[in-house]
Amino acid sequence: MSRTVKNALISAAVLVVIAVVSVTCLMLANAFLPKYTPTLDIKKIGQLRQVAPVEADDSTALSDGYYSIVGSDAFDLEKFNTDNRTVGEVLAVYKVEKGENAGMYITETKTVGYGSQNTVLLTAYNADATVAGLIKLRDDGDYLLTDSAQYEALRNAVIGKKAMTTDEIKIATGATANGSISGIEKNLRLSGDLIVLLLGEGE
Amino acid sequence: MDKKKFRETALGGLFNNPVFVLVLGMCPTISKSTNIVDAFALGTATAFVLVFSNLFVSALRKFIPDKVRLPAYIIIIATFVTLVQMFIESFLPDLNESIGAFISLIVVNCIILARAESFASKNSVGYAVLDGLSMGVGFIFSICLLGGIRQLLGMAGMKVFVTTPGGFIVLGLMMALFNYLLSIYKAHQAKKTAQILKGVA
Repeated sequence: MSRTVKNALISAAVLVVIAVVSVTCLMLANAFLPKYTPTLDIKKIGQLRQVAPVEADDSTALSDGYYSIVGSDAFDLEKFNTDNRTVGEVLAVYKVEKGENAGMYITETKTVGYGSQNTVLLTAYNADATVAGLIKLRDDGDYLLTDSAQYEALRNAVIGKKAMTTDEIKIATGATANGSISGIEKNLRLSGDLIVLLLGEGE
Repeated sequence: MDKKKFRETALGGLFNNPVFVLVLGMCPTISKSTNIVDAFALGTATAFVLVFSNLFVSALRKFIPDKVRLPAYIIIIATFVTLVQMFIESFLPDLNESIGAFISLIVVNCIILARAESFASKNSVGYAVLDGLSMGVGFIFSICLLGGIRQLLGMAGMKVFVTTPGGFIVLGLMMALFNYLLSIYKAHQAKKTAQILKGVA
């Protein structure tokens, strides 16, 4: 074996060992760190009211149970997330219990855009599985959603639709922020699939 | 222990301040120095990654072949950044909302790779950790100072200093002041050394 080949193999082996140790550490950390648990506090109620408004104010909506967290009895969130792990993760599903939007589902979804940026959206759905409202909770991508005009354009374009392709988002917003656009498209796809599941195939 | 080297390493964060002297890590420095809380959190996260990446780069320096040292350093740095990100996501969700995007960008923060390449890979573990601590504290100090000043200016109604262009103006002025004070100190020290040498002669 020539010296060059030997050096190359040693280099590759060292990198593999470092990568394996790193991945093991991250797996252990992932196993032991607590997972995100949705809570209905005053801040969350405020966010939910933006996508699925109720006539009561934040504190009344919280105390009178205008919103609820959809529990594991309605669907298997863990299985859904496992099946859709390449698209993203559903963090929580909420339901409007009272008021004119009673029965409306709201999804909190997290996806990763191009370049591993997180995008978290809160999306409300009508009974026909079309989008009723949308706000971003986080966008680490190309900051499309920090531009309020583009954000408004996105909201106006998506309301009444079941999903949007990346091209449709680009046309609607005029943005070219690939990280954000990809994250938004995945969020809508993921939450749309979940809503179809919750509402039933026939609806 | 070499006292001179220890002193130089321990004070590296001041005399070679990563922000005001080396002008490294400008992206997070400008973006997240609009208020002191975000600045402190990002500074602490960066310091943590700096200390631990320096530790591991130094400990493994004899085993990592020279030709693959940079990818190896990046894997080590990325591991610690991901650990910090997971920790913040789990325990500090509000902080995660405000600085989350910049946590993952610590991987490409020049301060960390520069210290790994120029210091940790050439020095023992003890000095590498000391350098990480010193540079980390230096970064926290600078970003918090900048964050505090910009926040105060913003509260005083000068909102322009909270914007990115305003951030550069404040940073430039701070940098000038810091380097001016540093040059006075260095001139004073040089004068003192010259007097001692004159006395000895």
